[in-house]
Amino acid sequence: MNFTDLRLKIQRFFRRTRYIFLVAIIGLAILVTLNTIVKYRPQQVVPETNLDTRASVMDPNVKTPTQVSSSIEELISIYMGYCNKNDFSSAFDMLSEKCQQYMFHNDINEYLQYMYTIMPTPKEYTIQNYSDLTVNGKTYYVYQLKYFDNLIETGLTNTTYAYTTEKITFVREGEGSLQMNVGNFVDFEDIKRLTEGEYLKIDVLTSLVQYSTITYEVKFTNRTDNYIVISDSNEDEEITITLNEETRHPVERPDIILEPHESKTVSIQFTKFFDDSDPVTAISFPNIRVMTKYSGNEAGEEVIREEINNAEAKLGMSVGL
Amino acid sequence: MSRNQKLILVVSLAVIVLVFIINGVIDNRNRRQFDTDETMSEEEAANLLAKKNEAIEVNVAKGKNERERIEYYAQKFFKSIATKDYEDAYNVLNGAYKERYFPTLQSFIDYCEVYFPGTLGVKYTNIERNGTTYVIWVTISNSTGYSKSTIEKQVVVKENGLNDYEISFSK
Repeated sequence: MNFTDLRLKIQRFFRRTRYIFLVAIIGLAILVTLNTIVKYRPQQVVPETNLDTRASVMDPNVKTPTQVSSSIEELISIYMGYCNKNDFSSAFDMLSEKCQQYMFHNDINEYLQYMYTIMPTPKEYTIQNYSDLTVNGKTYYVYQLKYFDNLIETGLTNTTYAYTTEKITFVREGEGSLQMNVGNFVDFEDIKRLTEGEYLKIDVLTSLVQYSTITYEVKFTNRTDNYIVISDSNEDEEITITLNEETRHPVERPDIILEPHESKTVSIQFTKFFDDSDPVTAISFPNIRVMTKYSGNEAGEEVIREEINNAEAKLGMSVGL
Repeated sequence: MSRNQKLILVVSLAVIVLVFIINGVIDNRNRRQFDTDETMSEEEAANLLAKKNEAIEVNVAKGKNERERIEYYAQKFFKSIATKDYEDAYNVLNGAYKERYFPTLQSFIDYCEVYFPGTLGVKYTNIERNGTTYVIWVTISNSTGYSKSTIEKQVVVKENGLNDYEISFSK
């Protein structure tokens, strides 16, 4: 192939591909120019922080979905706006019916009393997702709300660094709207589980779930002509709840003593973190005494022991939850 | 070569040359954005220098993690006081804080000369975050001549952006 052939071949190739060539050159030019412009475009400089309000404290791999977290942030912003303007009536109206009824007994003064302890003056706040979990078709988004004074305006002059916190919960049932709970209230349920025997009937009526406690309302019915002692602190174990991994005693052990044929309803509170993934499987009363005579704790150790020893019956009862 | 082919070749070459010129101009403009020249007024040159320093500071802050960055802001504040660049330190104080505790620059200078008179050594003992506001607990040692004293202070830093912050401290 001589030079003329080569020249002719290049000419022919160029003639065939001239438009592709032109488009390629122009395309390349646009790309290079765009690249240069992008390279020198002023970038928004955002400080990197570890703050991620959507990531759960209990499990950082779990994050509230963006759409839900936006709604939650908006609700909290509106709620805090009311609180900081002392419009507690509007703030109270934002709470779920259950929270209003079972946490504050539909009494705004009770709510005001609570708010006075948590934010007596207007406050700034931050939020952090604590846990997201779904139980019985309901999804619970637990957030921690932290209240503090405007720190930058005082520099903590003549004051000490202090803040208050509470867990607020947003509950969604199916496709329903988000229901907001404050005061560490999570949920209230009618349980209606019972166990009964020859001597005694035990109805577990309701449970009040707060972030760190669970309170059962239990009705005891004495079916005998005798006294029934369920709890009077004279036995080591009188009231317990059973979880998958442990047994727990109540925060405060109530005295439960039934006169013949008496019915009594008692609230029993246990420490139980809502998001600890260890459900309660039963509430138990392992040392029930059916006694013909009961003189009470004032009678002295000797009499108490004698009456226990002479009990008509000793039994344990448990209600599955 | 036909007339058409020549035209395409010329257009292609023109496009390539144009791209090189545009890129050269953009590159040059960005590289020389902080360069001063003789035609600039003193004020323009000073503004340009301030911009350049700001860009450097932003880059320094960008290279630090969250805690280091907040401590760095506090460190710069105390360094300004130690080097008696009181106006620089005063300028980063939060507006409402200034109004309440140091309504004038002179009141701030008077305070600093009493409480931070000598060489300052700042040790950070703790930090807490509240959204974009941080509280730092610091131990400040003052050395003047043969005497040395230490005081505990809480410094509040509000970070609005990189190297964009406000400071206040327990007076």
